[in-house]
Amino acid sequence: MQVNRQRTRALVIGAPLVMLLVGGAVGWFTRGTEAGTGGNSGTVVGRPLPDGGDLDAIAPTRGTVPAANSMLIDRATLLGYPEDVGVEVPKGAAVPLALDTAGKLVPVDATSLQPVAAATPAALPPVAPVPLAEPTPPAAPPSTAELPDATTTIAPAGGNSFVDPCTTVVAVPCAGGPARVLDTLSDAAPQLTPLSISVPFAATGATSSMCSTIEAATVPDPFLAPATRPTIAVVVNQPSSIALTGTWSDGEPIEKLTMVTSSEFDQQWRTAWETEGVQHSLLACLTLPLDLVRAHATGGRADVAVSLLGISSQGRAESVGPVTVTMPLDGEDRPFVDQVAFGSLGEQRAADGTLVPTVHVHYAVLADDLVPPTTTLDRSTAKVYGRHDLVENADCAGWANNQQGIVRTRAGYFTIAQEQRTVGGRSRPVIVVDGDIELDPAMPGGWGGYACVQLFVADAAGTRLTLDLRGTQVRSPLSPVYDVGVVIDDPVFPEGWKVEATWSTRSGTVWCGPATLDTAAPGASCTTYARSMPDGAVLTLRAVDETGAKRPAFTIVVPMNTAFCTPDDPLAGVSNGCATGYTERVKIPVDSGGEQSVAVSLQVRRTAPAGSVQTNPAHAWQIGLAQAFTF
Amino acid sequence: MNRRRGRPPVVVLVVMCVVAAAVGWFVVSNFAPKKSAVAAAGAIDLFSCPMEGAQSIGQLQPGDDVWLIGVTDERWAVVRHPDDPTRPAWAPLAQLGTGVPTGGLPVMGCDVNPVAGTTTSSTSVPPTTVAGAPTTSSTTTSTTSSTTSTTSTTIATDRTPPVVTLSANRPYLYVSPAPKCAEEVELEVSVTVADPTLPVSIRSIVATWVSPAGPQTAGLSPVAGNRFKLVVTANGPTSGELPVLITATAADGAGNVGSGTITVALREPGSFGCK
Repeated sequence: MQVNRQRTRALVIGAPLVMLLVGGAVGWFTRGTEAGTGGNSGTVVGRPLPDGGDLDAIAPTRGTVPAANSMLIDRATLLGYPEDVGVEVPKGAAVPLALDTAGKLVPVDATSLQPVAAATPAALPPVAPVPLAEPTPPAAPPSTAELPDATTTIAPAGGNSFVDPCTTVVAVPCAGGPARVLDTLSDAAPQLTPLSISVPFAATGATSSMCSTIEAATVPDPFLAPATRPTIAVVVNQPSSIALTGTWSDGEPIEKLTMVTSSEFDQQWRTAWETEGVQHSLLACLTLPLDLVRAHATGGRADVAVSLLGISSQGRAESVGPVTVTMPLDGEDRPFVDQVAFGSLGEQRAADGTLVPTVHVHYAVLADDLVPPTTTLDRSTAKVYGRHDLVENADCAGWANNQQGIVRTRAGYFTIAQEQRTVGGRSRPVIVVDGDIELDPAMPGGWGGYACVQLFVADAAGTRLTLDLRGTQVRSPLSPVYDVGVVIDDPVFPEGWKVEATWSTRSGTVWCGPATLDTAAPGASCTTYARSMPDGAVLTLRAVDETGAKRPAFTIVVPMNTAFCTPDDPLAGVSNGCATGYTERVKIPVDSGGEQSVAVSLQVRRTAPAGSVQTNPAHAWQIGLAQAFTF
Repeated sequence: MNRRRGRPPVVVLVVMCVVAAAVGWFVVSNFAPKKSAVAAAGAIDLFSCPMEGAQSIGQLQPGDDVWLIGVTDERWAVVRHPDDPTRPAWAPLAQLGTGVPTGGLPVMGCDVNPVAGTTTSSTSVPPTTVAGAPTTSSTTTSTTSSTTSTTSTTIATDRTPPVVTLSANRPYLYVSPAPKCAEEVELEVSVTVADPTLPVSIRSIVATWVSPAGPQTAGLSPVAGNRFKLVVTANGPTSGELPVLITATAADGAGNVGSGTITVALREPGSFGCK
């Protein structure tokens, strides 16, 4: 009995104690989390963003991989490209074909012939926002090219993953691209961008000089000045071996040739990559023999469809494109020693970051035989000048003789060189002129007009005489047009709230707006050329609550793809030149914690009507035959 | 009976155990130190826009597929949130594997200081339509030709060049100087361009003749509108007169180019009593 009583007492006391401990143990494992709201493992929220070293530990910086654009030849990354692009010649100025006593080129006003200073290029003209009533889906892209790998989807990994239709449904058009969460942080070492070959182009200006250096002793017909040689060039982003094949416009094929690269530049490339992690670009060249070009040329020009295959230590790449090579015509063409030749430089990056359509002009004249002996000019004070302009609504004769047309030149950059050359068996002084003529960037893509060169002589008394007038019909590269819009797309948009939308450049210059959006006027959009903002257009959205208080702004830099749609070109898929834009609904945060938001639809429309790369090289200038005009 | 009375009922014992367990769970779970805020092994946090006061708004597990919509500061990838795809969420860029060129994605960001709100430029531009923007037509016209038009009425199938007609205020002109006929050393020529596709423009106008010294050319200077003047100071006829052909070229809005001519006489002043 005594024993039973003791057992009962132990049970009465021990059992609740044991259960107390069990309950405490359960409470220990189910207790709350610091500064959090708890929940399951997929929705742990409320932890503050770390800073300092903790931030670097969880989110170290990584370089972004640039999008490939084989259409754009960026001189800034090209190893060996000369930094001196020449003396700036403002619009309406002329170039004296002689250096001053200090050996400098001093541009003069074409009318007064007085020195002029370089003008500040005009700022991007602002535009007005256009109201948008509601978001709309973009048009289907016109491309027939194969889609790049980057737009294919990744199969879901299974497990407890969420399912986002963008990652699983091919038919859902989503802006952006797929990614997968890694087990560990990715390697911090910079990764080489895969081998990429630009579209081929005819070497002109500085690239023709570079090709002359690169080809050195291997160049055929070395008696030709570099600028007059029929040279094909490409830009590659890794040291590589490049084979060139092609077909002339008359149907005859070009047998496989190997492009020439510089071992010196290759070594510089490797050094820059290994020491700085910088991946430069390299120029590869191939000058065709005159006899070969002559057999397929008309009027000193020959068209060839070029195919390129490059192999590097990292892989291989291909490129295709049409190239028009030129060669000097036989016979004399006084006063020219090198005939006037115009070449496409496509679009070049200006100091303000914009891309400017640029054409190159080259010619050389005899320095001792320019002023005709039978003139009333005072030969002791006579000087020879050159005017170089892009002209609209008039041909070169109308521009030079009748003051017709509108000059659309933005500015020019010229170099003048004085050489001794053997001409007609005699050593003669020759003036060599090279210039880049930039088109007014406000002109639309595909602008058409004339590129003109006027040589004239003027004396101190003001008497002037035109010596020669040359030119050619040109069409500038095509440029996509971007329409960047935003529409309030929120069924529970707070009463009395507004959203301020402002469009600016990456440098902060506002080019459109601000527009105030609310439920009555929910959207607005602004239009620009892709080449005006190749680094992207900044759309800043700031919510204003019913009290008038401004909430934190949210910015979106909309990238601009400057490539054009060329369905016949396999590179169009790579550069995504046929993309028509996207509409994306985004909840923009309006407080620091991300708890409050306002839903808007970002609407990007890209217009780049399809061209045909074989007959219509959208990325390059179309340049006609150079011709002489009456004067 | 006594034995029964001496023991507590089993129900009471069970109740005591339950109460004890509940008290133990309540006390420990509410008053014991909270768990430290660390993510589950391998999981990564998603954050709201990385700025002052930003907080985690979810988690991802290794192997999860996400959809990139942007980047921020080369440190963050902006993805569609797992629980709400329209909500942007920031994940460490280094924690994601992708074949997408991240440099081509939109860059998204928030105010560094949300109170000051200093992200945007304070400069504003009044909504005005400005020439040169893509939305405006570039059908600019020559200032010296009254036959041009600012209205673009392009006919896509137009392949017909414009009709260019020239007229002169006099059928002749004298080589300058001609003291006794000073008013007739200058010839005024008007150019009319006819075409349904606007704008039309005069591209050039030039005079050509053959003098005893050989072929000669001279440009005409604009006077106003579509009128030009011709003055010849040298290389005229030695006596009598010579035919001078004046040719004008013009283009229509479709790029077709046409030309027109007129022939006038270039006179040697002495032969006509003008010296």
